[in-house]
Amino acid sequence: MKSGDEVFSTLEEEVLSVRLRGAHEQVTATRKSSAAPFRDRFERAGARTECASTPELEAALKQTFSIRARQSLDANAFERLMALPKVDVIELEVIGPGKAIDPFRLSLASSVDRKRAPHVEAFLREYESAFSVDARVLDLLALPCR
Amino acid sequence: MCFARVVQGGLNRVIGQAASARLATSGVFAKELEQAIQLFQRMGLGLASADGRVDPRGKTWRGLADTLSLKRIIVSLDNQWLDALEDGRRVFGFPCVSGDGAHPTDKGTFRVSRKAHPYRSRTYDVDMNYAMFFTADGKAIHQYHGFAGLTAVRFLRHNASDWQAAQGTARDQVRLAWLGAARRSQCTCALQLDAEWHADLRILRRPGGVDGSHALRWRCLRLRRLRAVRRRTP
Repeated sequence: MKSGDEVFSTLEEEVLSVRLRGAHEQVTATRKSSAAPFRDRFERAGARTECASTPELEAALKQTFSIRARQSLDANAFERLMALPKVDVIELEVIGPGKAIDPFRLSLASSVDRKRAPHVEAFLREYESAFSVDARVLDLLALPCR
Repeated sequence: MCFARVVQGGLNRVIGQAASARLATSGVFAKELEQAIQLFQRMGLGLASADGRVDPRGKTWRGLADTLSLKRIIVSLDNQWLDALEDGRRVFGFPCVSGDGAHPTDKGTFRVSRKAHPYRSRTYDVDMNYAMFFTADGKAIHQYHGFAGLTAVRFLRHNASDWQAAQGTARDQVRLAWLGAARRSQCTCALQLDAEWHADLRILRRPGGVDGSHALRWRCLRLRRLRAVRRRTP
C-alpha cells in the first residue's frame, strides 16, 4: 500500500447499503434500488431515529464511496492507536447490488485529540494493511437526523 | 464507426441518466446524433456555428473530452493486449491474459463500477489486487498473481488451452498481467490512472482502430519467442 493509493471506490448507483458501526452509535443508510433515495437510520445512546437523506447526509455518505490511503502505516500502528485512551473504533461496510462482489469492509480508528486535527487510521483486517485516511469518512456519524 | 460510438457514449454521459434523451450507442452516425452534437456545441461549448460534426482532435472533440475527461480501456481478446486511452490518446499498453474457453471473458462495452485494492477473490481464493469490476457477476481487470510466469501461461495456453483450468487458477476474469518489474510499475500506474469511474471499458474481438502497431509488435515478439523455444527444443 502506497500513499495516495485508492483502496476502494464505487459508483454511487452501485451502492445499496452503507453502515458505520461504532461501540456507542451506528448509522445505516439503505435503499431498495439504485434509483431510490437513501434512508438513514441512526442508533445513538439506545435511541433509534430514521430519516430521509438530506443534501448534508448525502454529501457525508459520499465520503465513504471512495477511500484513499493518505499515508501507509505499519500494521502495528493501528494497534498502537487503539491502545490510546479516547479512541473510537468504527466498522465501515459498503454493500452493492451484486452478490458476486464482496462487501467492502474497513475498520476505522478515530483519535480524539483537542490539540490536533481529527486523525483516522484504517485497517483492512483481511490484508493486515494499515493506513491513515481522510477524517471526513466519518462525517455521517456527526450529522443530526431530522 | 468506433469513433461515432465513443461520441455517442460521451454525449450520453453529458445527457445523464434521463433515459428518454439517451442516444443508442450503435456507432452509426444518424440524424439524432448530429442533433445531439449540435446541441452540445451550442449549449455546452457556446459555439456560434453548430455544424453537428466531431473531428478527431477538433474543437468539439476537445470540448467533449474536457467536459468528460474521457478515459477508456480497450482489451483485445485476439491479441491479449490492453490499451488505456485518455481523450483518444493511448497512454498505456501492456499484455494481458483473458479468461479461457471454459470461462470466456464477456465481450462488449462496460463501465468500471467498483475498484478495490488490495483484493482477494473468495471464489477462487487468490489475490486479485487493483481489481476493477465491470460486471455485476464479479468480472474484473486485476493484477496477475498466477504462480506461473505470464510468458509460460500464454505459451501453454497457445498449445493447451485447458492447462490453466487444470491448475485451478482464477479464470473467470479479465486477467491483467505483465512481464517484469518495469512493466509492473507501468501497469500499476495505468490502473490507477484509468480506473476513473467514468472510464468506459471495451472488450473487442478484434483490435480497435486506435493504434494497430502494438498488435503487430506483440505478434513479432511472440514469433521471436516461439522461434527461440523451438531452437532450444531438441
